[in-house]
This record gives sequence, structure tokens and C-alpha cells, in this order.
Amino acid sequence: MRLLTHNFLKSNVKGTENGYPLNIEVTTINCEESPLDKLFLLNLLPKVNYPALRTAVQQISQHCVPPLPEIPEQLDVSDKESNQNLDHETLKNLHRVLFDVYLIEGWLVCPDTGRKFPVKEGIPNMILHEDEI
Amino acid sequence: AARTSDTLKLKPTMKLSLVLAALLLGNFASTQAFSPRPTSTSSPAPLAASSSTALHGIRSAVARARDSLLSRERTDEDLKSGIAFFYDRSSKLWEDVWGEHMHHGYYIPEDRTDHVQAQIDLIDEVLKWAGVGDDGKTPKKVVDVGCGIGGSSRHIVRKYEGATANGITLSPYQAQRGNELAKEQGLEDRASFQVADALNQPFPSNTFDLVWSLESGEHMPDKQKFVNELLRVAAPGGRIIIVTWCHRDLLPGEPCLSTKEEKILAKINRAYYLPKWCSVADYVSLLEKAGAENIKREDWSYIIAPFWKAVIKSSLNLKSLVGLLKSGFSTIRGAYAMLLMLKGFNAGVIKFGLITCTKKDE
Repeated sequence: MRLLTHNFLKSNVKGTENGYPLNIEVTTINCEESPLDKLFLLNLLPKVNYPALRTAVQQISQHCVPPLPEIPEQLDVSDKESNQNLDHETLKNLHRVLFDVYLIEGWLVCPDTGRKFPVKEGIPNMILHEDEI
Repeated sequence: AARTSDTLKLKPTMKLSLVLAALLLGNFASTQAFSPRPTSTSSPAPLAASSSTALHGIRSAVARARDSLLSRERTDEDLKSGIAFFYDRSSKLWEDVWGEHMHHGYYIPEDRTDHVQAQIDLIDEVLKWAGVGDDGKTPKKVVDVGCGIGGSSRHIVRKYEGATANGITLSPYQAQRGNELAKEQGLEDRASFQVADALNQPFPSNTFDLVWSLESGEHMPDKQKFVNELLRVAAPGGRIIIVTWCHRDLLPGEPCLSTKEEKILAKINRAYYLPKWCSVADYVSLLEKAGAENIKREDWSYIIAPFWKAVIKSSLNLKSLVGLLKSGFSTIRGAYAMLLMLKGFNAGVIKFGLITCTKKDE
């Protein structure tokens, strides 16, 4: 599971409206470099929740070898026009954290209820139990 | 469009040989032990009952057999685990014989034999019918609800530049296979698959500009919840497309289907892990109730009907029969139920419906 996917996932356990973003507990993590597709990334950025991405990076960075690159503390990605002005280094780093990091084994934790969703073989299982619906 | 044949007749000899094959194989396969909950997530190998649960296994197997014979409706919980189990076991065989698309084909012309292309064409024709891209805007964020092994998702992200897709399925095997295929096809940064419940989608509201459900609606035990979730995760102004098996619309004043019609559906439901069916008209009124706009509907039963004959034919060769045998009882039963699907289409009770709508724009 990449951080791109994590950015879209939310816990909807009964009784919580604050199931986003999910906290990440790492057991096994992989990094695999891939080439930057600038156009694709620029198209994608307005859809990304940036604060959630930054938090996720901070939570997993220590488990990565080599450690993940620094991304800006704050960034408004909602405007396509201004995204075009981002420098190449920032875009490369954004690409790396969004696409090149894979959580293979671990947990996604609901920030409100603490419910843990397992990630096995890279796939998160978000199915709720009967009493959580 | 002109219909060249309203019913699809299966040659008597083909019918007989399929029934015999199913009975023979069913007999053999029912001697295998099977457990109620799938424990393996990565391979659909037959699951053996452990010695400590053997008695429980036998008791629950007998109960299940009785429920099957009586065509009893399953509970929602049984349905959910049954669906995951069924697809964990059957997806590999389907993929071996049919490829990555687990849905009907678009049979215009009726006698086309390029089945995989027909399946791809169905996706494109549905998108065209729904008017996706007509206003010059193509979808960027897509959710594939009940994604199978991700055929639709991968096709859609290839079709629309800059699009990404998230697919959800109850079957861990399917999610894994979906991600594997995405990687093989160089699409892993554009299509990703998770295990999740369509009735409780793990996504924030107002996320997707295209919400896609192709032949998965049949599995949803709570159609209202299903529809509400589709609308919830749709972005304002976003489009929802549902393509699903339904029963025929009820006539005004008709309270329900006939007993004979219900019987056919009940048998199919056992085989395919389906809850009670609804009609396209039911979907339309659920969507209306939930505040959807620009609701459009269509009946493509006659366009996809030739697919069943093709599937049945494809199962009558040695490779498929052996694969069927290896996949276990539930898959074999699924194969036999194809005859029932054909019967249902011919009887006019089963319909292949299309429904589309948009979410209110802000």
C-alpha cells in the first residue's frame, strides 16, 4: 500500500466522524524507485490531502532505508497553476513519498476509535466487524 | 435497435452434457471437506477441515447442504464471508479461461466470438451511454465498487489521461491479483485495490468524480445502503454508474414476482451468494430518494444475453472442466447456475440494467 492510497482511506467505524487520516504502524516497509511522471503528478496533486500526506511521511520515515526526503511543512496543492511553479526537487520528493514507498505489513489505526485495520502483503483490509457498522 | 432473437436456446445435447458433467463433478467434489471461513488470503487452494473442527465442519456442512436444497436465503454475515470465499476460490479459474474482466460482454453483433474484446467493449459502451466525457471533462478520480481483479479500473485509467482508480472487493485474493496485474501492466501508480465493504466504503465523502459499479450491485444485501454509499463518496457534480442484474420491473399493482420466478432466483442466489433481487425501477426510486439528479436507465438484456451461451461453451473443454474440478464445489455449482441464468433471461425475469445519475453540484 502506497501513501497515495493511504491518503484516500478513512475509517468509518460506527460513531466516528473523525476517522481520517489513519495513523500508520509499520511492521515491514519497502522502497522501490520509479521515474517521475511530472504531468501525471501535477494532475494528481490537487486531489491529495497534503496535511495527511505530511503526517503519514513523518510516521513512517524512520522505518525507511534510506530515510524519506523532506517535503515542505505546509503546501497548498489545490491550485493547478501554482503547482506548476514547484521546483523540480520538491516534485521529485513528492513523487517519492507518494509512489515509491510500500507498506507491506503493518496497521492503519483509526485516530478516533483506535481500531486497527491490518495491512497484509501490501493490501489493507478495511472490512468492519458486525458490531462496528 | 432491432433484436434478432428474443430468447437464447441451448441445444438439448449441450444442455444434457452440461447437467451430467455438473452432477458427476458435484458428486465427486462434495466429498472434499470445506471450511466456512477462508483462512488463506493468497491462493485459492482447497481448504481442509482440521481435526479439532472436523465435527463442527461436518455439522455446518450438513446445515449448508440442507439450506442449499431448500434454496434458503443467506444471512448478511454468511453472505459477506461466502462472497469472499466464493471469489477467493473461483477467480483464478475465471481468469485462466476468460482473462481479467469478470463481467458480461457487449454482443453487437450478436454472433461475435471475440469474447474478451466484447467485455472491453461493454465498459466503453457503458461509459458512452452514460455520457462520460461528453462535456469535455474526463474523470480524474475513480472508485470501482466490487472491482473483481480490477479489469475495469485498469481499462478506465488507461482510457482517461491523468485518472487514478481505487477498487474495493471483499475478496483478499482478488485485491492481491488486481494489484499484481496493475504492476504487470505498468499501472500500479494509477490503480490500486483494497479489501473493503461496499456498504461501508473506507473513503471520505465527496471524493470521486466517477463512481463505477459493474456487476457488483447484485451482491449487496442492503440496496439502500449501497446506493447511499455510492452517492456519499461521489464528488459534487460527479457521476455514478451502476450496471447490474435485476429482476423485471413489477407491473402496476403487482405486489411481487410469481412463485415460479422467485424459485429460479432463489436457486441462483445460493450458487452465486446473492441476496434478494430488486428491479431497475427500485434502483431509480432509491436514487431519487437519496437526492440523485439526472437519473437515466436502460435495459441491455438482449445485448449481453449471448454471453451465457459463450461461457457455457467455454466450460465444455477438458482444460476448463479440470480447472472447475480443482476449484471445488462452490465453483462447480456456480457453473451449473449458468443454466439457471439462461433460463431466467429466457423467462423474462432476469434483466441486465444500466442506471446512471449525478450528485448534486455545490
